[in-house]
Amino acid sequence: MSSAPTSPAALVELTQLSHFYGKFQALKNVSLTVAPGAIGLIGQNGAGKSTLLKILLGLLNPSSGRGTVLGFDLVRQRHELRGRIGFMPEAESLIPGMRGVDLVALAGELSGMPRRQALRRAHEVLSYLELDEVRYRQCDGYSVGMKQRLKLAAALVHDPQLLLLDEPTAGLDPQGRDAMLRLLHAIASRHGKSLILSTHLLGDIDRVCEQVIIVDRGSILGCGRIGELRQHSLGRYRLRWRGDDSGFAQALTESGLTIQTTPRAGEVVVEVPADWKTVRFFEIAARHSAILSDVVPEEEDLPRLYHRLIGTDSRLASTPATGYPKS
Amino acid sequence: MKTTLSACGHLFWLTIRRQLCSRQTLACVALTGLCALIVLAWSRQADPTAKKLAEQVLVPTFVAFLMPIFAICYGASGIGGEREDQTLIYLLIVPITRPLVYFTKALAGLALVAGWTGGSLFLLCRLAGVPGLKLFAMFLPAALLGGLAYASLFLLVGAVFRHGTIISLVYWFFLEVLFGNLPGIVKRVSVAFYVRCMIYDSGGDLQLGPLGRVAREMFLPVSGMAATATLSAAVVALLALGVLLFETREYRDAC
Amino acid sequence: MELDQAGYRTWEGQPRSPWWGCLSIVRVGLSLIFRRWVFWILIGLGLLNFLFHFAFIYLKATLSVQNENIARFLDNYKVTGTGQAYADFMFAQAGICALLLAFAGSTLIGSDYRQGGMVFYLSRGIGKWHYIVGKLLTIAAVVTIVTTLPALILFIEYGTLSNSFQYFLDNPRVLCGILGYGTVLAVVQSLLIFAIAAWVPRTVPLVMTWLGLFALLKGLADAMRAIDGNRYWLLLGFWDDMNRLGRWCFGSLDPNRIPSAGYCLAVLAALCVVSLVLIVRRVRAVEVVS
Repeated sequence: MSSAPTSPAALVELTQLSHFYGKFQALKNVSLTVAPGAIGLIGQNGAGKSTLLKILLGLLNPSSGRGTVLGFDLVRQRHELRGRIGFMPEAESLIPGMRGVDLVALAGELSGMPRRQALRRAHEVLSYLELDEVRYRQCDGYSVGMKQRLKLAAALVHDPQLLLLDEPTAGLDPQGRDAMLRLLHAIASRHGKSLILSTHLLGDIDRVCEQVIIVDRGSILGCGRIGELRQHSLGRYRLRWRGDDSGFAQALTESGLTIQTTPRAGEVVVEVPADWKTVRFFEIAARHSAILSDVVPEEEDLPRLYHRLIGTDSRLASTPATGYPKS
Repeated sequence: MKTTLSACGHLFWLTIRRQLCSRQTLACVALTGLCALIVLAWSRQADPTAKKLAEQVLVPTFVAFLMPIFAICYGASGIGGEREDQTLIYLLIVPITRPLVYFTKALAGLALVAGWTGGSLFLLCRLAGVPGLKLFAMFLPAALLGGLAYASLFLLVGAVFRHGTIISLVYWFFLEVLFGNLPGIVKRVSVAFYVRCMIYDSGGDLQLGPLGRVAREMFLPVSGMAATATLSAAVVALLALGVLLFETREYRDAC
Repeated sequence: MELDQAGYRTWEGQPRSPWWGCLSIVRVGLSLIFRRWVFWILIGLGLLNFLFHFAFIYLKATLSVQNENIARFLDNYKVTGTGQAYADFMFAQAGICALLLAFAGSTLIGSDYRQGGMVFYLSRGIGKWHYIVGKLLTIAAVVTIVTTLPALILFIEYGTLSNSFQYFLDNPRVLCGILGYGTVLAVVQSLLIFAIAAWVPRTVPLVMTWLGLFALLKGLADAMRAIDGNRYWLLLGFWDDMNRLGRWCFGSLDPNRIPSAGYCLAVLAALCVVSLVLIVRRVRAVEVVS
């Protein structure tokens, strides 16, 4: 596949992008720059994720602002752009009556591949996604997991530079979900594809993506590498110690710290003021004959980060419904 | 018993509501409106007579077109629509026996078809003025019985075949339109033949019959009584067959 | 999924123009039609009519050598090799084709709206117009296969089985007529069925609307004309308008008969424009992307 007109350093670059549905503003002056890689797109229902995806795919013209994806202008070069993007929609976008291999080959042809090459490549991709045994079956009869992989095959067939995935694990059983996530991770890490993964399942993003875009009510609340966003959450430490259990914890409280949780005896998570120096933990411990074994800055997990940014109750973050199941 | 009846009642009204609030109803309204325009235009002719109205408007547009269309709309989509929308599973898990489910759906479908057929026939006859009102009583029994026969047949087709609506339409074109107009007794397999026999029998005073000498000679009608008996028996037999097949059939496409 | 067993390979080819995608849409659409046995009932009916004519032309050519009376007898069946005969044949085939399209419209167009095919097409490297043109070409191809192609084969057969090739030289208008009538049928029917199926995607309402448009409008046209004898009301019958225009292409339309071919053309052109506007308004992937 030919490359973009310029070799863009940024995968996606949006400037003051807005979109209105009638009077309702779905996207509000969105400006962001995303580097190539695996990117998670998260937000609540109605946050503007789908609108953003449609705009990135060139299906929807932004009401104002401009942007590029892979160096292609979102409005003027939308056809060229779509030829370089693979889109896996959440809805069952298959053509009833078609065999799996024909459907994937058609997707390739519609993306500009010659017929023979599209057919050969369809076989390759279906083998890669382990659908080779059912390739000649009509896609109506596929199971949910097979349909998801078939949609992924149709998105991958023309070897796109960027994959847009809308809820790729929806409806999959735990094994199927695990397999899909491993596959996406492999596509991103081993084959150098960029992907934008829109999902409600924060655990999926945690496993596959290194960058995240957090959307809420049409605005971008956070965008960047997950690790960098987590750094904003400094101010919490997980302490483990041996010795005087209650006395040390009491002393921490008296020193002006807030104990967030006490997972077990001899372990707490404390929130510290901005000017707190780590050495003071050791001073307090020494005063109460406690031996500190761990002083770990508490890193925010993705669910907490997400809920902090959108301003909802962070306790929800630990519920399995929003996060990846905790083992 | 009371619970079962109540459940059947709910299913009946749910079916009526779902069928009425559909695009099919809009299409029915549009087609009836178009037929009404034809009747209005026809009634402005210099010499509108009941015989002309029957031969030029009611038989070719209402009996041959609108009546089967209503039956396909609300008959074929009774069970067939549930299969297409993949909602049949909800019907199969309700705490009502399958024969009752089919019977209730059939009742709802037949009621809708009868309502549409009778209502639209009345509208058309009313718009046609005096000649129309003269014809209403002649056409009503045949139209109602024909509509019910079509509806029970299409309901059965929807319950048996996966693409019931398409097969119903194909049946209508081939057996009803083509075979129904062939000379000889082959047309006796079609519902339309018996409907026309009933109409021609009750419209004997107006000398109603097929247009043209050859068509009239080759029509070979049965008596109105025989046609009524045949259509009534067909409705009952088709409903019974539908109940039997729906009870015993395994629907692999249900879930 | 054992990814290590099967490697992912890149594709280094040069993408073609998106217009090539139209041909893929046509191929896939035709295969969807010809793969279903329900459609073969109607296609078979058209084939029967064609084979009937084919056999008659052959019999006529063979038997008329022995007995000219037989040729005259066979002419009763209107297989005369004139423009009128081809127009009649194509008119009959067009009727069968209209029935076929009534069902096929839901498969070709309606299912794209009901089952997400629109997202499949428009999220690839093609645009709205490529999709529209591809689908229109598919329907036009179905119409051509059922109406124009058989008529052309009969024309070639008739000319080939005559004593010389003079038949072809004497009847260029017949060839133009076949192509002209075929074009009228293909253009009008493809635009009309696309517009209806896009707005009424489910099979039953689609068939009702499609047939109602032809059958009931003709009834309305006849009823209106009967009021004061104004024949311009007949223009309301789109099916007859196509027929009149087709016969004009064959040169067998009485020029003094009202409505003239020009009026029919104007009405059909307006119908096509309206259909196209409806199609363009409806083909928006964003409405169906969840």
